[in-house]
Amino acid sequence: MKKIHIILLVGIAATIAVLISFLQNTSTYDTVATAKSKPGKFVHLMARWDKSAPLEYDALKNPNYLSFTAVDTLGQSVKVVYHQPKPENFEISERLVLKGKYQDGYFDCQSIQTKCPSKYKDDMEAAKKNVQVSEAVENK
Amino acid sequence: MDYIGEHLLPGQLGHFFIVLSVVASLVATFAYFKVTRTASSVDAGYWKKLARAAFVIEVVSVAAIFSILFYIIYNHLFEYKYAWQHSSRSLEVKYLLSCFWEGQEGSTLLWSIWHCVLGLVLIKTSKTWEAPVMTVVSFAQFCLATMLAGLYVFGWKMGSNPFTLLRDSGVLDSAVGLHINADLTQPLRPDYLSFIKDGNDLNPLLQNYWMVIHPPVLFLGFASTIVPFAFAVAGLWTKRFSDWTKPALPWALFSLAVLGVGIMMGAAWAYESLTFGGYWAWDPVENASLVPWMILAAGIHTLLIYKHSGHSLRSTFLFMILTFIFILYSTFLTKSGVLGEASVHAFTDSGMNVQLVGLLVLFFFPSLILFLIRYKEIPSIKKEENVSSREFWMFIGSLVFFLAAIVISAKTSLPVFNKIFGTKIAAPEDEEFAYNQIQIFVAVIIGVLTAITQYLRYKDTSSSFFWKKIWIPTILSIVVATLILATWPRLSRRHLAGNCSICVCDNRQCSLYLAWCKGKSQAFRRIDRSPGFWSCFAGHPYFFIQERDPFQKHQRHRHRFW
Repeated sequence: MKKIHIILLVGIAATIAVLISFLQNTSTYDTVATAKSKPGKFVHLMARWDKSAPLEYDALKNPNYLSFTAVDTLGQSVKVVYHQPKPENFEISERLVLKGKYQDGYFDCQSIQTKCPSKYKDDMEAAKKNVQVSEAVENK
Repeated sequence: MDYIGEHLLPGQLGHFFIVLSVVASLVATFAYFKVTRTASSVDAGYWKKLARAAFVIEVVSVAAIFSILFYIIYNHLFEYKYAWQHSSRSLEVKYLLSCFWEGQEGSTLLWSIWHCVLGLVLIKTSKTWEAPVMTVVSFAQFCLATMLAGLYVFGWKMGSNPFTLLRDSGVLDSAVGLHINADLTQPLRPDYLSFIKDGNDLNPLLQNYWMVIHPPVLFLGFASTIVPFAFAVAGLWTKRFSDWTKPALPWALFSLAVLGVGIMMGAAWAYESLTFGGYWAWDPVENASLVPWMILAAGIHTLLIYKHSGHSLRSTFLFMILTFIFILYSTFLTKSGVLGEASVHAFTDSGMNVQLVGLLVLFFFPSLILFLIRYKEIPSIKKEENVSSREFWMFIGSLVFFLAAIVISAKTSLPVFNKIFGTKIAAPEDEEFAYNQIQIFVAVIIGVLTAITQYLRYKDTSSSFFWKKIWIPTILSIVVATLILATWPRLSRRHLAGNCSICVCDNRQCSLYLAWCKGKSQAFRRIDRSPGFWSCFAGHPYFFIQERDPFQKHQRHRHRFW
């Protein structure tokens, strides 16, 4: 067996080992129910902001405290606490990817990824409004 | 029904040229195929004339498509969806070009344009290799052309046409005010266009000077990887296993340099425009362009090994083929929408996934099967490489680099695995750390290997020669590294690994610089004689990524490696 072949095998073995250890460390995409079922474990929670529930954020008092209720597609909700400034486009987002863990009755969030409706749809709404406005003007 | 104020001619012309480009590229592929396969030189001559004519028509069509689309955007013809979706009246002229590459169709078109330019150069320069190489390029052009076609084939929509009218795109279907009597069941009002006052504008993140220059350069890098691939396939196809390496080397170096520069421009843009807090965030889209770059770098090294020692020809074939396959895979990743959850800047699904997978499969299987069929015939040297030889350590370096690329690609492909197996695996808690913890070691290994291997000789090195050559650069680099670390003490406390790699890199940089000074006059005469010169330009973005941390402005990372 050539030395190169041995090194090749060692390299491939190392690659496989690296990938297996990577898989051990991965997290999962979860719903509220499954996130609650594994408290203390880091997950990606897919949900959206429940606008009917109160949102607690006072930039003057504490800019690093945001608390709101997230609801997933199955309709279950959970209280979320986020110890960083509120993301800029939080209000307009239609979906949130919340990274963190469920513990002590709330979801302790480390980072929020906001999924905004594409600008494209936004502007369509705006365009529609413009059209309606200009029509209203015309009708008068 | 006639609508007021529409300009339909550009779109009709555009669509004509798209269809023409599909047909012309198919004819070129077939004709070049015949040239390669025909034994009689008279027949081959006729086919070649036809093939060249078809390819020139293809080039003209693609240029026409580009010009017409630019005309539409420049004149704010918002009756076309592309102009409406990606531009606005207030947009600065320089960003009108960026509008092109904001959309999928425009970026495909850009890729196609570069293929045209490269194809013309190949026709001019590649002599006996023209036919087989251009068969591959023309076929790629055909695939790209079908992605712009927007034709219905047996009820299946093939490609996405950049000249789709806004009123046909479905966007206006729910806009009540634009329909007759404000009734959605009625057709659009004849004067609907007068209500579309402005376009959607370009995404503000893309309104950055880097976005004018980064996509064309990156796509030139992407597009140019087809040339070494085509040469490798041509070599396997025509059984000229050795000859292809000579013309392929300068192309591969060019490709590596341009792709590397393109990646770094992207990093500069990300630094300014995105909130990564750094140049590199191991975002899937970034990784997708880094992986082919790394494989190509490995391939160039094995190619040099072959040139000087006759070893590693088989791995050169494999690396050159895989480079282009991974370019196609990265296209699939960024354009299919599969990265939707994982990346901040992938395109969304445009309903072309079948075609994107098709593109990958059409190149992956034939080239790999051809490689396997010919594997035994590819010449290789039975004798083992000497441990004191340059080729031995260069090959190990290439191998480490290749495996590192595979690791990055596998980690990036998590969303693809999720799609295939229906799992819900997400990235680990600290995604960047998951990449860095492995790649920092790869960087150190590669750094050490590059520093030392260049002082070894091909075939065999005597130890007196080695030590005589290496001691000056080593002392120089230790002095420079000490100075750097003394100037930035923060660096030395936090980045032990950084220390080692900076030390090693200094060694490499000074010797590269020396080599560059020596070879400077030659370098401009023949680029393929001075890979060192080009690798200076290629700039090794890999090291750039690894070492960005110490100089970063915003320290946002909770976990540091050391």
